[in-house]
Amino acid sequence: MKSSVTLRLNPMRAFRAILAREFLGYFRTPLAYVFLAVFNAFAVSLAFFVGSFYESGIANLDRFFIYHPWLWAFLAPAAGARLWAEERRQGTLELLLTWPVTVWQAALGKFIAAWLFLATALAMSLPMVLTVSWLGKPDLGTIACGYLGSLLCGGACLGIAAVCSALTRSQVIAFVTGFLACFILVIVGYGVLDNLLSGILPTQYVSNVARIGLWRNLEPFTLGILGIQPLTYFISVALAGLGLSTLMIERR
Amino acid sequence: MNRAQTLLAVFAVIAAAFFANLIAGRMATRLDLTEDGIFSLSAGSRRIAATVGEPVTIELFTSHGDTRLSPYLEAYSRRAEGLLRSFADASNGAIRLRLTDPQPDTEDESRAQRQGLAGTRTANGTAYLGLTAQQADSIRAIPFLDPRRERFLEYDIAQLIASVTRLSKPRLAFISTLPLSSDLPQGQGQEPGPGDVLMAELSRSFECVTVSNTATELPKDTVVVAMIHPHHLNPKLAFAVDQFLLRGGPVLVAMDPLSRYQKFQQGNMPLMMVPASAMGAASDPALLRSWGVEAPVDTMVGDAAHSLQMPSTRGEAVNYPLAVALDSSNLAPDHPVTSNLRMLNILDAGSVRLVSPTPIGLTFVPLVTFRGPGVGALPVNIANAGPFERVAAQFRPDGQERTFAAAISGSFKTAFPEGAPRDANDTSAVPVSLKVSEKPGRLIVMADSDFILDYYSIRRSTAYGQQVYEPLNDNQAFFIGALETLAGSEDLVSVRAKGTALRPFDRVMALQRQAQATYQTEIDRNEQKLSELAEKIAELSRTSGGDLSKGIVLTPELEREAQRFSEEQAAVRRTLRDIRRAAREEVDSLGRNLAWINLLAAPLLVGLGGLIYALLRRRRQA
Repeated sequence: MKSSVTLRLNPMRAFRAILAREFLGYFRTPLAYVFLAVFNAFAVSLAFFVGSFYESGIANLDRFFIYHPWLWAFLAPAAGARLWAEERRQGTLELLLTWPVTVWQAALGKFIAAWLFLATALAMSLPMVLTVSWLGKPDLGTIACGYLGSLLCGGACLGIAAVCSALTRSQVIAFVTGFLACFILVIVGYGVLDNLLSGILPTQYVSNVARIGLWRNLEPFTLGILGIQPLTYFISVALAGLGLSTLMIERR
Repeated sequence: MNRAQTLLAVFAVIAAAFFANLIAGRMATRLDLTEDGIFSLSAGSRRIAATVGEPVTIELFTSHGDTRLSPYLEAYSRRAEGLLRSFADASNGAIRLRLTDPQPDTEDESRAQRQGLAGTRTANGTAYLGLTAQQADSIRAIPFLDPRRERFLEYDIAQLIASVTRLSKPRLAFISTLPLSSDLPQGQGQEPGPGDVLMAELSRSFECVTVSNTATELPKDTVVVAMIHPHHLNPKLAFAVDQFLLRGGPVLVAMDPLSRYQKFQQGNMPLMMVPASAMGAASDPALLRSWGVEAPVDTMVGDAAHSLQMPSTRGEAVNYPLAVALDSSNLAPDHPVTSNLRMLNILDAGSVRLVSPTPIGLTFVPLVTFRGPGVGALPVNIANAGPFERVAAQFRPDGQERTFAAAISGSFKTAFPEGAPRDANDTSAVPVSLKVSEKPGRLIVMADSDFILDYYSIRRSTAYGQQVYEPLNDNQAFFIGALETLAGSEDLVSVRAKGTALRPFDRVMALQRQAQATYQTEIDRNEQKLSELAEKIAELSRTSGGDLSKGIVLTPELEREAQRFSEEQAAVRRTLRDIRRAAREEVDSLGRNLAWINLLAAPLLVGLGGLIYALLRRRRQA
């Protein structure tokens, strides 16, 4: 029992233990590898074949990042579905809670681990950076800012996925509801929905609604602008998702 | 936690997120992470934005819908939007940004057109990328945001805001010895004056006050002074201009070693024996020289490589090196005045430089430069003697660079060290005057005056009973742009050219250039062949008296002949298509390869990562 005492005394170590368990947990299933490959295959294909990345002739990654909200809307719920739903189904949640950690430490550890998994997927698109640097002389500051934005966007989607995961025992339901919720945020501000809304609402409200869209908030990042507003948006959605899901788990 | 507490906590989390966004939405703090700081405003723009009094609404028109802009222009519109936001942020709410997508046949589109926006043609109609600034009822527009002017985007926006917030047009004192005037009567059927269009264009941006060279002072509240072909200036007027410059007032001088206009006004006597200066055909360089700027009026500069054709005495066209068409290779690419000009036509120009020894404290920035192996100079008396073919024969290029127009700034010394010029019988004490610049002075010198006249820069025509003008070249745009830059505030002047966000794929462009070089001769040869064949077929139809396209052919031989030609034509067309495809092939295949490499990289990385992880686990377990 000695170790548990030290764990209880050192929340940092407890957090790190959870983080390591959860993060490595992703790589124990072959599904994770499939997700990583699918994410990058889609990211590259969309940029090259839909976004005309090569034909545009501009040495930046705009045409690559523009599709990231769609990708996150898909991948973040996939990674986040297992956050709580799996534990609840297998009954390991109670097991986890017998660990000498608080629910909040566990939740934060799980969440950060999932976010790190998303970061891994994103980091694997490094060949795109090499490609664009080989083709021209891109502004690396802008590209770094775009990556930061994309990662935060993924975090926001993960927050939503965490809530959906905490609500159900089924990973599939968690994934589907999470995907739908993110999907709504993706299409807000993409033009199509704007046109539909402008039939019902005054213009001013339409632009306010568009503000909660993912792309509207990711766009400044891809230009190289780090704004308080989009930064707050992504972080607040991620944190709210984390907080809400943890409250729901704690309630059980 | 009980149920009520949990509900409260859930509510608190949502409320916290909501209010965090609400507060952040009101904060305008942004960090510019681009390498060149392209979204960071320079101090001048910041001051212009901060001193906007009454609210200014900037409306950015960008087509998003069916009439979509090209990806390149779309990227540029986002860049412009980012910069406009920086202006809005710096204005403490005085500048409001409005984004409009002018869909075809809507009120938005007709407003865009009313406010002078220029659309670009796309497959589905007209697309817009332009902006307007409005304060109360004054509206200014940038009709089309041209990505080629990206480096000056901040300058253009700052200028737009400055011009729309200015209550009245700046006053321009127009000192001209040529009969240019904004207040000449414009009667019906009257011969158009030499500068009617110029003065009309100038009065769009300025309140022009024409000042004769015999006047003794400048008009009150003069913002900028233009001296066109100055000679025999009243010393008092010269003194007034001198003091204006030394007080920091901007001055533009168009010098001329030989004013064609004045020469022909004083009787068509090209072979006169009188020296040109006595005829008033040459400007007086004394005032400029005492300011430290040399604009010699005894030599003319030409460029055999850029020469235009002039009629010889026998009516044939001769290449006359003193008449030149200057292109972008002669224009300073990094100056807002010259960066978007394409061509200047100049006849009998001089040159400008600083006096030697170089005066301390003056900066000399060439705007238009004669350069290349064809450049040379010729004494004015030879050039003035004519005719064109003889002058051309005496022109010897020396390849030396010479400046046609330059912006000179810094601390000028007065041309009147003894103070104000006085009448002989005036015995009162000499009033105190400035001896050196009190504020940094700004001067633009051009070494020709004819080139701004309508004759050399405007084509007139009549359409539907209306006189229409179209510019032949950018001569007047250059002149007016220079004056507008001078009239701009110091804040505006300090706005520097920025780096670019639209960086090209250098490697692809190099490939394209290479392919172009390799295949161009072949393409040319085949196109030549194609036009020869077309000519032959047309010839055949003429001789046969029929029309081949209507199938009226007289004899079977002719029919066979025609058949052979059109088969040959089709073959050549096929070859051309193949060549063009081959020329594109390298670029296209690079794109395909890159797509494949990027597509395969991820699965490979995943596979590799998985393998390493599995091996590590096995080792640990073993």
